[in-house]
Amino acid sequence: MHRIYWIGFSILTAGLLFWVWSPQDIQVIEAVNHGSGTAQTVDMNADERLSHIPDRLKSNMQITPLEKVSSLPIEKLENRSDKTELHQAIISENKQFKRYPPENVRFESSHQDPVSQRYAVDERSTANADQTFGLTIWSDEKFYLQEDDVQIFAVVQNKDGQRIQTQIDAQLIFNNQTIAALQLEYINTDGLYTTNIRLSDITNTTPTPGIYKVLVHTPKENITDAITFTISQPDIQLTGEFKERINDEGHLEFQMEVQVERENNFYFQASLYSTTNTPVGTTQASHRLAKGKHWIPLTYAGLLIRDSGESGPYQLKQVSLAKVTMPMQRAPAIYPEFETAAYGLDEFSDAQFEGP
Amino acid sequence: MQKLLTSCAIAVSVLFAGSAMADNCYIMVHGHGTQGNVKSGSNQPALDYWRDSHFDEYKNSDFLAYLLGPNDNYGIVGYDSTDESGYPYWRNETAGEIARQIVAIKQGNGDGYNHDQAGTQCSANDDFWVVSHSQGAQQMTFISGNAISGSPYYNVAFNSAGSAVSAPYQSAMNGILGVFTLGGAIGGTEGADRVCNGNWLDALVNMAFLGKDCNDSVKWMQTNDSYLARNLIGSNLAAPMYVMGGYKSFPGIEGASAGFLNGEDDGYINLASQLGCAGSPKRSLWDDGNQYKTFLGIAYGSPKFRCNNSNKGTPRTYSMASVYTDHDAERNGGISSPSYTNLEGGLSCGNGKNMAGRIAACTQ
Repeated sequence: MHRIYWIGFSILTAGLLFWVWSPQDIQVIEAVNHGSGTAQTVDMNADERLSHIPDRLKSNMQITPLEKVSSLPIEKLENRSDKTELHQAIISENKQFKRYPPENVRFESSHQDPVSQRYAVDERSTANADQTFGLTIWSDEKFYLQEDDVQIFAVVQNKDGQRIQTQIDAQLIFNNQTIAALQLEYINTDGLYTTNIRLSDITNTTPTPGIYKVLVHTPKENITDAITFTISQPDIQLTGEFKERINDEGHLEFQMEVQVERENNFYFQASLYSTTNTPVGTTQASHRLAKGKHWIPLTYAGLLIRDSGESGPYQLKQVSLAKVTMPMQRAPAIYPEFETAAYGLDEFSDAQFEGP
Repeated sequence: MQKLLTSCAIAVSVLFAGSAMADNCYIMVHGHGTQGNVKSGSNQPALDYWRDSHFDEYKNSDFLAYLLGPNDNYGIVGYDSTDESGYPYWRNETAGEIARQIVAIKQGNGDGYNHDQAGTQCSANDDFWVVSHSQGAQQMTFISGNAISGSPYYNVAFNSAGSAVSAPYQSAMNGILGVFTLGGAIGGTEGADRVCNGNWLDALVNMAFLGKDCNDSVKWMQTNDSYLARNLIGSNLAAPMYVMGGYKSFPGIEGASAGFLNGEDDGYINLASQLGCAGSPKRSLWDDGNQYKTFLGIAYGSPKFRCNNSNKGTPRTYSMASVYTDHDAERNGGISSPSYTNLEGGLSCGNGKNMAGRIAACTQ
């Protein structure tokens, strides 16, 4: 919409100026044009531009303030004179985002740790229609290996929050098919229902990797909810061998050795803490790996570590290995507790990331 | 000759001066239940999504009427989100298609739709924003979360055979200033849980517009963490995501739909999911974005959970607004001046306007 207006305006202006403008005036406009064409900034405000225009034209011209021009969207926002609250927020957020390489994320509390968030137990609560009873269900993990036991828990509470004994029906579902009815045992001392599932015992074979669902229903209170968990065959594991160093750029670089059983794409996430358990940040990587042993580099930017304010040693606290299929087949979380040397903060680079 | 060149130089320079104040281009990503892959003459479901209504109260409302300022452009993204096709958000027909269309719109190729508003096709030097509703937010979470090198599904979608195919997520997200989500199924929807677990009211399923059976599209919108896009992305999003949540029930069936959902909701999606909160997307969130202890339905004490910008389940995700709007009015602007509740860390630009008006006020 804007474009048509400008084209029309440009043609009219060009026609007018064709007859009346002198060559020295042109230089200024060419400078503006050059700045635009190279997508760089032009440090000239409206008053400055007006001063270069012949007086005989000024009375009939309106000069719209020319924003600094850039092809980078965020710079265009920065150069706006009329920023909104959102513009300010985006500029500020972008500065933080650009502080580290995009594979690095800083977090200040362990509950913000992306690895912890992925593995946190998915506890679900549902109330019945008149809010007089509630059902809470969870499993002890979210990701299991094929030979693992899966433990399911359920609690039914009345409106006073007291755990009650009632009837609970449950079924195990895979690919929209019920594969087993489950009996949840009531533990009177805790008011807790629980059951232990070994999928290979149920299916009499190695369970197929994928998302499994346990559908839970309390007929008396008429509450239904379900939990899900993933059975993984990640085809990758840590060998237990690690290396670490401060690389030539001043970043902390780990190498962790993995054993791959079958070629695939794999995804790695690892969170770094100080040995006093202060969070530093997380990093990620993805690679296609053939069968065999591989060293996987995990890099934490020097500035990320400096921003934590914690000197070394540092601990590779949590590692997530996953085979990239759909769904993703994460191995259970790994806690290698591998520590670095006692580096001082000033040994790390304080350079900001200078990527795109 | 010199004067001719001079004129050209002037004309071009004035054109560039215009582009210095780049126009906004809003890239519109619709939600579930739309045959957005169809675009034939006046049959434009993906465009109509933003002005259709399921409720007579919102008839003739048009999201774009509230969104567009005099210098704004928009591009419609269409993909097949119908129950009949049942494509999950990670399919080439959904995420891959959306990414390809975003790239084309950003190149200034136009969206191929007949805009009622003349001259509103986007050009390559516009400022680009993505506006997404419902499943569209889930789509954008997956795309943006796999647009950075090192992400698990970096530039990858899946075809019908389950094979990975290339999808231009990085190109699509490059230069996007922000992604707005309206009533976003960021953490899925308890409605999908109930459809898939067999305890949703048939009447509501038929009346509402999200999932008539547990096809794969609906299945992957359940609130269990295993299905969520946040479980299938890397540590970072390629662009910041600003979330707006609705907390009004559908007109005429108040209490029927919302009564089946935990906490506040927009009639179909829990507010905790819309605001991208960490933890369970069906946690009982109040309209201020907090979770409280309650006695006889009344909240008391300090919040036991605050869905502020430090407690999101996805990276680079920020609270924008909590608006008294239902899931239908979110996408058609059916309530022009809804009330709202302040969110901790939210934005005040556009307070008192509907979600479209808020985006307009905050970006123009």
